[in-house]
Amino acid sequence: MGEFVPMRSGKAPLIGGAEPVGRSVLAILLGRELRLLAEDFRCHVSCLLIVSLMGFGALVYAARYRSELRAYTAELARYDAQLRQTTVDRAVEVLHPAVKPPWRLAFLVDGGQQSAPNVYRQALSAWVEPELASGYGADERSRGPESLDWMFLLRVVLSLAAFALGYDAVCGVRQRATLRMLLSYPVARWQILTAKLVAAWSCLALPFFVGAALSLLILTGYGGLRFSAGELVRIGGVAGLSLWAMALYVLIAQLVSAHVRDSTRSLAMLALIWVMAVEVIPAASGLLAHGLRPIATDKEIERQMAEIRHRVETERHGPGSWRGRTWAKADDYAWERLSARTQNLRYALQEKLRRAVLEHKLSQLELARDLSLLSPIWLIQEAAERLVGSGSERDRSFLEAAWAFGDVLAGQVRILDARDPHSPHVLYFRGYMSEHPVDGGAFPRFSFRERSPGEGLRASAAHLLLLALETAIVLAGALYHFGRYDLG
Amino acid sequence: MFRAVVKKELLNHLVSFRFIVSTLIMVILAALATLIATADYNLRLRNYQSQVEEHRQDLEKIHVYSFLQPVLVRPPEPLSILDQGNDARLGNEVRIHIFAIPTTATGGFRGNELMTSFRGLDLTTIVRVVLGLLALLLSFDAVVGERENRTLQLIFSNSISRFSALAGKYLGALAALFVPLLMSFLLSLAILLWRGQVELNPSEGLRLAGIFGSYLAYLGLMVLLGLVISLFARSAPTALVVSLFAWLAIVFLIPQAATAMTRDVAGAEHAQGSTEDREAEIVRERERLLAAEAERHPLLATTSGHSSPIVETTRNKAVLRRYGSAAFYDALAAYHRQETAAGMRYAEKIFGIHQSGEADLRAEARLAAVFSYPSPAFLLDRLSESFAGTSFDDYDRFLTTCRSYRLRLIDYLRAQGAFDSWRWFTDDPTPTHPWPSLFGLGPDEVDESNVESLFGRLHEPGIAAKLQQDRMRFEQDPSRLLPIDDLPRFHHRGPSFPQAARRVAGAAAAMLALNLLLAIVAVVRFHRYSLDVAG
Repeated sequence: MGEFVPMRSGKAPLIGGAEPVGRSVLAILLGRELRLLAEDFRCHVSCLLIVSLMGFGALVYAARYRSELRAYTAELARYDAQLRQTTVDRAVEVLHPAVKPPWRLAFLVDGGQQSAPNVYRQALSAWVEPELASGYGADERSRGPESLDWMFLLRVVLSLAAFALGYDAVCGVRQRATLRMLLSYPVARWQILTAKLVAAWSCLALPFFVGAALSLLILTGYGGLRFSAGELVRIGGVAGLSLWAMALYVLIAQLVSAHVRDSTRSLAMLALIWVMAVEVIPAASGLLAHGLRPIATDKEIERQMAEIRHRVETERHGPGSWRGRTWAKADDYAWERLSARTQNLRYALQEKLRRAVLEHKLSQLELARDLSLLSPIWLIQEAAERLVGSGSERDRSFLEAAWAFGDVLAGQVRILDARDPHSPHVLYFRGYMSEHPVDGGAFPRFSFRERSPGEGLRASAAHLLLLALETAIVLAGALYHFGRYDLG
Repeated sequence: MFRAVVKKELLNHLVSFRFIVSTLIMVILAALATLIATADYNLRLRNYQSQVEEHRQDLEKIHVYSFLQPVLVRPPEPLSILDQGNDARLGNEVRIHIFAIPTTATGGFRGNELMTSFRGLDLTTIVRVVLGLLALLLSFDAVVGERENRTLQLIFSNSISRFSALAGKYLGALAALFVPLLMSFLLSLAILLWRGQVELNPSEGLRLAGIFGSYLAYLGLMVLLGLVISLFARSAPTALVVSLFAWLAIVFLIPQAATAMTRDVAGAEHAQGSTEDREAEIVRERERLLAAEAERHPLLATTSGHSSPIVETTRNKAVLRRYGSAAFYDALAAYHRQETAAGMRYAEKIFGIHQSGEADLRAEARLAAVFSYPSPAFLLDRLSESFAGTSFDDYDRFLTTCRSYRLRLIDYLRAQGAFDSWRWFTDDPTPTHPWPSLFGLGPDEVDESNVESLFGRLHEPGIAAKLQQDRMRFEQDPSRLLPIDDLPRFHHRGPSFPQAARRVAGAAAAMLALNLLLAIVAVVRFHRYSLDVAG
């Protein structure tokens, strides 16, 4: 409450003992709100929670990044060891891995990368099926809960903290009395609401900045990460988005507050809105996507694979078996060449089916994501993922790059095999290709390009626009309702 | 008087806005979640039944013992409708054979591995999140709110002890929570029985009671927490905000942080790659041993008129040969005797390596659990999953049953003389018809000079057609099919109630201990509580 000192004009100043000279009404109101919040335990608890969770999250991530990097390096080293002193003939049955590098911005926006598949192993031989795996072979049980990234904090903690700070902005007996007092001065309602918004927002933004600085310190110090310019731009982008999100959350709380009389009811409503927005809508979206875009069962896929095999083999040739290399040489590997073409066709058709299944799974995921945009909290999550290039976009570009890598590998192996005049050149079957020793460095390596900031901005433009629209609607709603709020 | 207090509290809650809205949300969500989970269960059950039938039919078509690799399938757990746990996520098929001891299950309808961030919604999650919140919303102002309204003193205008008054508030809130809990539980059960292809047996009935009991214990704990907050808070709004943050910490933050800490900070060093490398090294050693063994037999080392071509081969060294001579088959039987013995020995070694890697993972999981014990939500999850039969322990139990089935299979094969006879690799009866007989020659009439060309002639259209006809005839010949009527049967069912309870005795004890602790704190605090608002 402000101190009231009577003045000659008969009107008491709002705050302090001096007439507000050169300070706008908004600034005075803001100062008042900030002082009130600074003394409020809600602010203290929020600050503590935000800073400690961001610090803890950074520690956890630094440890995780180090171990992921070790696993990544070990996977590449294992591959190098396999290719040491090899021949083209042996190399066709080696499972060449396309390994997704550890996601450096996972502390910022993990987007499910922690448990997404991150290695695609493919052989060139039609006898060997490709594998898509997660964690470079980690145990299936270690697929744990979500990551403690900044977005988790924004989604779960900052939203609830914003609601806790803003739920009684307008409603409640005590508030109404204070507002009646404030409005006896030449102060517009929108100015009061703006001051409350900025004050609550500052209460969240300040610990967020402190937490962010602490995070980055831990990551560069303990974690040993060195961020590139592009990465710093993206970090800045997500920080900006987070600040915007906090303002939206406070506005939502103020909107609800301007809608009810009782402050307990206001917080209860906000808590339930939170549960719907954070838990229920995504769960329901997942289930809906599951129902609207069902995926074939493993059995069904196996059946289709067997059908392809049967169809191709019966159409092209009858039964037969591959002879030894020395015996088959007599007729220049006639049967083997025929069978190789058949098996390669069979493999190509089965691979097309496998890729179609993966595409379908990606589209199911994307549908679930689109459905959950109903929740502003998940709209922000999706916008952030697109901005930095995480989430399903990263999965999709990894798969496409892995598939393209397979083609590059096949091309290079064909060239290496062609150099050996003694090779039967039955592509790509072990026992019928060049047995000359080949240097491991002759095989191409998989490389993965992360999305650039410009691409990220373009991909998230629609979501950011939608967010802007939602913010405008909530702001208008809050101003409208507060404008008509009965303070009696 | 005590009953009047309870009744008054209950009625107050029942008409409050927060109660009505939460109950509505609770019931709608429970119905939706259970409907979807039931449809999913039905689909998994159909898949399971078709898998079992398919594997049964496959077994009826085999000719030799090396192909006898029964596939065991884990049935979907009916109570997973209430608590999904890991039931749908983990594999459900295990192939049993000599050369490896099962350590993991594959297959099953596991849905979309890319949708990891879209957790399903089940009754346990809804109770944990929504009813947990409601419990706090009903009790946070039980004491401090009434003190602010100056109605707290009125309770004691009749001679009622402080303990009775507090107990009355606790029971009133719990009774109110019982309404949405019972409604959603019974509704879920009704949907499960009506829409699901489920027939509950007494053991499952007991486990259902266990799940319901876990829900009650959790809600009782949350009500006590709300009461304690109410007793220590200066004002009702303060109590409300503290309750909200407490709910956030309990339901979301503590379990997350504990797992992240142990998985990423303390434990992430499972040397998965090195376990695989060691296993691969053991396999290479086994193959070298077997290759050396094959070289020792002159008939096996080179192709001759006695050799038997491989008609079919498949995973795990299953092989079907025909058109060999008796001498060749005798040598092959001796080789396969060594192969199967070595296979079993090396399977034990590989399993040992795998288990030591597993031990590290389990230690990590236990550590994460210990850090999460302060969270009632985590304890609820543990209890509920165990009674529903969808925890990792249940998956392990299935694998253990598979491993003991493998031992029974080995005993069965030994009793049938499978490891010592020709029937491991061929269904040819005596006298045999070695492949040179297709050209009118005896096996000894084929030597180094003509073996290659003769063998190549097996692809000639006339010969190939005859071979194909033979093959089709052999497929239909009942005397060539392997008799497996007395093959050991496999049964697997959900855990019994005592089994499920024993597994989570620790979590149950922790839940009860937390309940007791909070109750004591509340009673002690209320004893010295000022009934008047502080000046």
